[in-house]
Amino acid sequence: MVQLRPRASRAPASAEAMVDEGQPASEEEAEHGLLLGQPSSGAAAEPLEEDEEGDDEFDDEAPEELTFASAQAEAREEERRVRETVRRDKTLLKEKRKRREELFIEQKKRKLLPDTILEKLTTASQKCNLIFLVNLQKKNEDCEKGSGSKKVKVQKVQSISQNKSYVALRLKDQDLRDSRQQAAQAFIHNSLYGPGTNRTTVNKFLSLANKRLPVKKAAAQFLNNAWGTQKKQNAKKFKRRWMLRRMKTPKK
Amino acid sequence: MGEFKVHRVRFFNYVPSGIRCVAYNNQSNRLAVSRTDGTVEIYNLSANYFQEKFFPGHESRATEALCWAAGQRLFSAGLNGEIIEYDLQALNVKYAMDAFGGPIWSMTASPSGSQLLVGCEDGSVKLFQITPDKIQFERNFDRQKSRILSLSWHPSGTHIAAGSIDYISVFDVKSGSTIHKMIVDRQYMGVSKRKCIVWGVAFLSDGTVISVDSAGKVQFWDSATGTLVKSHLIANADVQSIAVADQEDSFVVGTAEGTIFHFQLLPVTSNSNEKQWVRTKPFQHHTHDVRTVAHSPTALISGGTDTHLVIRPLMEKVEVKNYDAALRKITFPHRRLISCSKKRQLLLFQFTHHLELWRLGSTVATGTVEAMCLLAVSPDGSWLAASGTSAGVRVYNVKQLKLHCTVPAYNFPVTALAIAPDTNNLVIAHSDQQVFEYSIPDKQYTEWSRTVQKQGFHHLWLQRDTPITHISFHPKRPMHILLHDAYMFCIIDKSLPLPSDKTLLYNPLPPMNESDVVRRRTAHAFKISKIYKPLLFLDLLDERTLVAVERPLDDIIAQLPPPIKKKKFGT
Repeated sequence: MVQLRPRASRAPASAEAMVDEGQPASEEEAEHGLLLGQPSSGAAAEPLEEDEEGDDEFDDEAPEELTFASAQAEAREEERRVRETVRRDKTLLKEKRKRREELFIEQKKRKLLPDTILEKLTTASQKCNLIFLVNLQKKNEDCEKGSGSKKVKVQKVQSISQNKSYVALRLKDQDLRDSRQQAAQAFIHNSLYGPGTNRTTVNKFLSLANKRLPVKKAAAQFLNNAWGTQKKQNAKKFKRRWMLRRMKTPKK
Repeated sequence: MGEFKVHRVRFFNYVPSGIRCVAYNNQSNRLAVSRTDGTVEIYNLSANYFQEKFFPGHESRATEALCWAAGQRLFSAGLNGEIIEYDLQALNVKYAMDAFGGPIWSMTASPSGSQLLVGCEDGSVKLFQITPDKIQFERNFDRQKSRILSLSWHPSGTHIAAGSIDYISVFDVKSGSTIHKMIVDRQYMGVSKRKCIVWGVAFLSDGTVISVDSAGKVQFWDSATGTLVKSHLIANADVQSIAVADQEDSFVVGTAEGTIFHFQLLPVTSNSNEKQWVRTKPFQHHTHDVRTVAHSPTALISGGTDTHLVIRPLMEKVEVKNYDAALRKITFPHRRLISCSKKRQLLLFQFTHHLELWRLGSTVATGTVEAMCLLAVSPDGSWLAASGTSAGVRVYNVKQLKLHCTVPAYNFPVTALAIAPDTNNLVIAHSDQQVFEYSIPDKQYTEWSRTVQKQGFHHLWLQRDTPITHISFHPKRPMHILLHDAYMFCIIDKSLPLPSDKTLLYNPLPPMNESDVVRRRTAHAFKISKIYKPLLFLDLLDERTLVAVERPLDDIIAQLPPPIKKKKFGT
């Protein structure tokens, strides 16, 4: 059984009371009160006596009279309040969880196919169950990497709808396949033409013979026609414009 | 003969794609060749090396491995992860089966021919069973750490050698487990940062495994103990392919520098029993990487990035030393890729993915996608001649839409067909350089054809390398037949006497003041000119004009990928 003791409320109250009386003494008393206030967590009742002790030094008034009954009533009130808050918290949490669950169910429903198709699938599957078993077995033999389960799905779709003929493909599989193929091509390109291989251009290769002839000839592809294409295009445009301008001015 | 104006066309930008794999079938003496763009060609080596079948390719079906299995079935595998079987009768792809191992790098058939083994990107070696109509997955072997780049079966079918990156593993077929893992040095007697890729392995029946790798080494390993026996450094670049003869006394390797080396098992001294492997002959017939080699009983076959297929018969294996023993280099296609419309002066070029239509005299280009086959239509539109894979050329009557007659079958495939305009004679050229003339209305061979056959062709005519790819006729001169192959064109004049074996076949041509005019002073029927070569197409446009499409080899080479650097003194 949890018993919540309102010990923290007492300590600041005692500090405030002592501050009113006087500065240095009050600080001491505050410290004292606080110190006394904290370790008293084990005690169930009567932190009032410490207050009374502190108060005694400053005024000769009689301590407050608090009957046992009132204190008990207060304590019970406190307990009830605390229990209430706890219950409220619990119910709030429950509600939250409930709402979340409903949201998830709804999302799941949205993800699945509409009921009509599901019905069709279940009825059709009952018809040709045997064939599926055989197919599944075969497919399980073939593919053990985990993509086998996906392939089974594909197989199912194919044989159910016999009026329409289509093949369902998982795009994720295709991406994986493409990336693997690209990696393989990159590997072979790298190993044959990548860094570390001793490759040269075709032009240089064909020109070797020309260089060793008794009468040295030029390289096989001496001119680089792809050089400065942008420059050449600009020059062409400029020339055309200039010609037009020249043709226009004498007419004036 | 007449003077002609000639349109010399050199702008047909035909670049063949490099050869990736070759596979030799001993039983039928056929060679399957696959290229980097996915086309597969089948050459009939006994029919004068004629390319008889052709499967057009697609980049997604680019092959990395090709093999014959179960007799006459052809399989290929590539980087898209599928094993493809080809239907050789229907000339299409039978089916494509995904191997679920990622890209496939290598494939080999078992010695019995009933099983197929593939090596995949993820390091797994998969065994497939060949059933009569399909292949079926059987099991996986132990998975390795890096991709399996080459495979080889032991001739007894009990063990397998698989080459990977930096190591070779030997598997036991029955259990599928690795027996040995042999580590390959990265450099011959040295250290290198680059990984050593084992491009090819071969398993001999005495347990020796021969490996070729990217450091330029050929190494002999003992599979019983898993140790290195001998190492040869033969090149500064990768050695990319290996093929062993059936008798296991010789093998050939191809390097990235374009050289192929022949290794033979020879006795140590002339009368000792001990034999060792010796590197005997180098051949330099290629300029770029030799990515694949094959060993037939009498010849070494090599192909690579420079697109030539080279068949080098071995002198010691050839019985009769005749023209058959010379080197064959197949560069230009054996099919006609160009057609000409005479009235409209248009030329149609066939590329892999598009067609280009050019008007002679001006330039226009369009594109569509079509297919081509060996057909000939008579100019008046009443007859259609077709030759397919089965024997005999069939002639159909177009107006009545039925079969008219069939030319008797000949054991060599047809390379060119044409129907003459007025006489409706069908002229057929075969791959052994025989030319027949068949009269369609009479349903028999013509007189001229019979005389030619009786006398036989000139021996130089029969020794030509390349097949005749196009035949055409002169509209005003029915006695002339114009035909050409890659290195010559010839006008046969039926009215002149035929040359006997002793006369000169090729007559010297006196040079004229115009370079486009050709003139001959001969007395025999075969008038041959070798001015325009290499010739892809030649045809008669009208009475006075010829069009010749040439493809200089240099233009093709200029568009190939980079070769290995060769250091020559003084450059």
